[in-house]
Amino acid sequence: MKKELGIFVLLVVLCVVVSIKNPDFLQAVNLQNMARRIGMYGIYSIGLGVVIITSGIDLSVGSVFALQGIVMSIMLENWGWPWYLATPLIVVGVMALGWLHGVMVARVGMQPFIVTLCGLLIYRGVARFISGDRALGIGAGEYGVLKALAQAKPLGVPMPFVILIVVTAVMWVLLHRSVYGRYLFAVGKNEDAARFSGINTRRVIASAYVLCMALTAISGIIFVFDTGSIQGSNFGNFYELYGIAAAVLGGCSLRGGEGSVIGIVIGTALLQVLQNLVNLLGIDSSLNFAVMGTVIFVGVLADQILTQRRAAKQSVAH
Amino acid sequence: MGKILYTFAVALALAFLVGCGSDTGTVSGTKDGANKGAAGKKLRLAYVTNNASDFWTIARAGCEKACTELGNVDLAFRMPPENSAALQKQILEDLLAKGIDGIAISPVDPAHQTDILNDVARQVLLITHDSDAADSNRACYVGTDNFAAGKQAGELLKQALPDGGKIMVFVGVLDAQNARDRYEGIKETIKGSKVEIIDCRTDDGDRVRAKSNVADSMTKYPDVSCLVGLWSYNGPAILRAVKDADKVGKVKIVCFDEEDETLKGVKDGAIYATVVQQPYEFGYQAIKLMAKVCGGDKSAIPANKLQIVPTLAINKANVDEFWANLKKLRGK
Amino acid sequence: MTDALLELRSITKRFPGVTALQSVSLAVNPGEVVALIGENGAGKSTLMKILGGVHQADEGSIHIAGRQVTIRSVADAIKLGIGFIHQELNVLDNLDVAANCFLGREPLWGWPLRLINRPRIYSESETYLRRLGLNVSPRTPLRELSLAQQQMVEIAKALSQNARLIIMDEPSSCLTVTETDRLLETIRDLRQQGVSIIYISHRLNEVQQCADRVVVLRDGQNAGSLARGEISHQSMIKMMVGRDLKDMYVHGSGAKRPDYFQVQGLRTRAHPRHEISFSLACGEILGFAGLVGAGRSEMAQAIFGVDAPLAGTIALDGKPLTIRCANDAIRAGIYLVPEDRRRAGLVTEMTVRENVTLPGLSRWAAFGLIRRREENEVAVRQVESLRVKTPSVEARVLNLSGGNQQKVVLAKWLALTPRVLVFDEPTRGIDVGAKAEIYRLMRDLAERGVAIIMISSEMEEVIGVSDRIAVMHEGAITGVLDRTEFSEERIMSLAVGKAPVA
Repeated sequence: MKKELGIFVLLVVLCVVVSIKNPDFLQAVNLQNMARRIGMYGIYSIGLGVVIITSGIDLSVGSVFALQGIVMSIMLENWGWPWYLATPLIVVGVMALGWLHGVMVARVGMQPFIVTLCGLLIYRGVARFISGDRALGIGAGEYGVLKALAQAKPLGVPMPFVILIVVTAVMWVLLHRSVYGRYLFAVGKNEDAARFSGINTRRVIASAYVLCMALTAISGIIFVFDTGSIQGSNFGNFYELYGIAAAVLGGCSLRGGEGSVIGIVIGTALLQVLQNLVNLLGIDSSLNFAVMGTVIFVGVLADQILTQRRAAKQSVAH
Repeated sequence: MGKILYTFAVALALAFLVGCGSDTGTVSGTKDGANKGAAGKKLRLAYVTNNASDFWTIARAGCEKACTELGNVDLAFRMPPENSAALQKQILEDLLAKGIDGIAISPVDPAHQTDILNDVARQVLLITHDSDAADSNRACYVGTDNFAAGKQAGELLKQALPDGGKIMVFVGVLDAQNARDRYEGIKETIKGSKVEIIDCRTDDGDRVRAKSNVADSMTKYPDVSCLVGLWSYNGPAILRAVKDADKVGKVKIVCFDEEDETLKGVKDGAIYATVVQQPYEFGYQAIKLMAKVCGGDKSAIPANKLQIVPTLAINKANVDEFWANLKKLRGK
Repeated sequence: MTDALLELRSITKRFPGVTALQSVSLAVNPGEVVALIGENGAGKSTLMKILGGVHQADEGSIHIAGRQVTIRSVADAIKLGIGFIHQELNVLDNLDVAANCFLGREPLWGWPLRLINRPRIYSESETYLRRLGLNVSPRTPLRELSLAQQQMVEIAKALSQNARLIIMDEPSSCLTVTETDRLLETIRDLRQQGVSIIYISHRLNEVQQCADRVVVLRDGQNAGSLARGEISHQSMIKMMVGRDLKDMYVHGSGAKRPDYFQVQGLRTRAHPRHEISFSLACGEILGFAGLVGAGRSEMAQAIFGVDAPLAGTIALDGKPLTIRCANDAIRAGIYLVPEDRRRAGLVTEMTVRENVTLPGLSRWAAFGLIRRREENEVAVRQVESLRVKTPSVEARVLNLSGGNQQKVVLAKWLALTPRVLVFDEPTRGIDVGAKAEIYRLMRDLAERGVAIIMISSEMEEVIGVSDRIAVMHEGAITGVLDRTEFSEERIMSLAVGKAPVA
């Protein structure tokens, strides 16, 4: 609980400071924008967190968004398929990619970094090729439900945020209260010990990648219907880094075996608030990434120092 | 407990540090956020580009000159790092949330941004510049008639290759309206002549790729006689690739816009001619137009909603004068 | 004692919440081997770390050859002629022997380029290697040497630093019997050359063989010392534990059902050309002795399913089993307490509770969701029945002592229903008091009907605990001994592959 409290405090302080310097931050429109973005980015960040907990990583998320967007556009617009046919196909297709990653990592034994890096390159290339490197889009068709996913505002709360809350609740139970979750953490912390305790480590690791892609697919649909225009070359560019940053800020260790769902959501919120802050305070937008990077760095550094100090105090020599 | 306090202190320090470096993106501005453009009070106008090219630095100079002349404008100049519709959407949302009176935007993908643009147009004054979104409810378009510009380029091509020849065309994204119009203009003009287009290659705004596209094309088609760049950075990219391949003078270059390298190339004779838009005017006229309309003068908008800024053909003869003038304008 | 090489006088060291050392004194004469023994937590490591420059004492003083010195860093210790051979060797196995010897002090030439003087580095390390009787070329890459040889290189390094005192921390824990003998010989040679040694070990046999004096620590204080003539197992244990440990080893009441657990024709991947066959009775402890590399751990892992065997059948209570993964073995009631408890036995960053419940987690879950209260009860019950010394079940396992960690490993299997338990080096790195407890636990389990396999490299342990002993050599069982036939000589000769001495 301590780690999450730390960045939660950081988040609250940042929000307070921004509101003081520019009260526009608290406007309904702005808060709704923020909520929507946190929802969109948060859903797949949780998925990335799951993979990170198994001491793996998935760099291909951004490129999957591009490929998924292009394929969805082609299915819905060019081929005129109905949304209830296209959507499950897309989701299953993306999860199949996850399964592929999982098999490569868990069964063949390749390093997750390499496997998903190749994914990053290949999927984007394919996306660009299929789309002829032109921007595809979702027109004004009757995609009622899908459009609502991205744009509806039940009770004034943007739908993506609502979905995020649901996903968070489900994932929290899965990760912190279920047998599967305990296995994930054990495998991430010490794969050998997990195997010697009878856990099917291969299946656990592979499933983490599938789960990540499932959440990516959901996020992807929302992104597509939010933006409307998908350019194969830059749709979703760098999004995996946002996810990883959110996960790390939220307490996931890249060494595996640690993490919390709530922390990841707070981490996502923190990143989005930072971006909003840059815009609202009129900071030159070219410094956008620099501000984000600095805050993340300082946050993780502070945590590192505090952990070391605590460990030193606790070390009782024999 | 100590950890919480520590984090709190760090957060506070960070936030104030970050907050202190603010207000660098506006011109002649203080932030009060409460004014809504009543006459005499500060007008908040935004100029949003489609990528981070040098072309827009010139436009920015024009914007800032207009602001200084008008005296009551808060300018928000937004330049997304890449041609992303998602980024532009975010910028528009944030501008609306911040409070804005008028936005001028060069949309990355007008065909698919209609919904978003209409959404904005419903709330504030929206005009397009550089690349039009004719299907949307934008109030006006300020910019080049790219088709006419393309035709101008076509004429220059016919001059450069009196005996005809093969040409290669390079651009960032062919789907952008301005790119397509220019390409069509060129094609229309060289129809029936002995000038023939081999192909068009895109680079998505990546300067490095722009140059390697040219290099690869020269290798693949050694008999190409002229290289055409449709976007502002394509000119310098072509020039560098030609220099690298040691083909200056052997392969002709016709391009668009007036980056410094391009103008130097024209002066040296490496580039036959460049068709310049007047991005300075884009910025200047867009801001002035928005200010007038926000001040109540709807007649500032032309009947056909198109305020065309004419293009100029710059060649060795007039480059010096043009460049001197440009430097003067930038100097402001 | 003014001619003592080293004197530690009244050293006191406090850490937040605990006093690790209280007024401890230790003296070492030149050319003397002093053994430092005590249970885990007695303060041996802390004392040595103070001597080695890693910690600073809060009170007390250190004197070398009569002069008081301050040791503030490892470099200081080295300069004073103190060398340290750690339990986990600090060697770089990507470099060669000479490089390791002279790490950080390489002979240079060609100033200012600072190039390594290769002829000199090789000839000098050669000298030290010869001195130790280690017959390898200094150019050999370290990873090609055995652990024992690597340890020799460490000693050579200490000698090359002109160490007058070498501290060895559990040096024989990873060595075979022959290699340990070699080490003890080396110690004797060093002693003759005037080098003093502080020998820290749990292996009282070795202490008996090489020590001139034994100093005992208990709970951070001096608990006594023994001169050469007084050194015996009983006297040492009595001082370490503070009481008489009656009979560490309990014999069983007789096994029933001799073919309860049968292994036929088992072929492991490590030794594919040999077949292993044996049977185990219900309630019997079958010890597996042999040299390092004999294939015992591989056999254990094959039975447990972690390293699937190439061939062979396993039958439990008459029913044949197919074991292709750990889960198969676990479901059949066959469990393994592995050799490396930190790597394979426990997830050290997790709590006691999480470790205890890990293999059988689904038993305390409904619809995949863990039932916290039941889980907690199981963990608490195990901790109590095994008397694991831990502040609570929520404590992280890595904070427990070796003996208690091993109990947690055992606890996780006892929370299920064991029918066959395989122990691989169950008391490695565990102090005497805890060892006795583990032996008692094993015997209790056997009496309750569990068939037990115990793999051990400690002769004393194998002989004391087992009902029968199977000896392995290079992947095959060379002989099985009944209690009446137990003897160190017989076991050794079987272990090296010779026919048993009658």
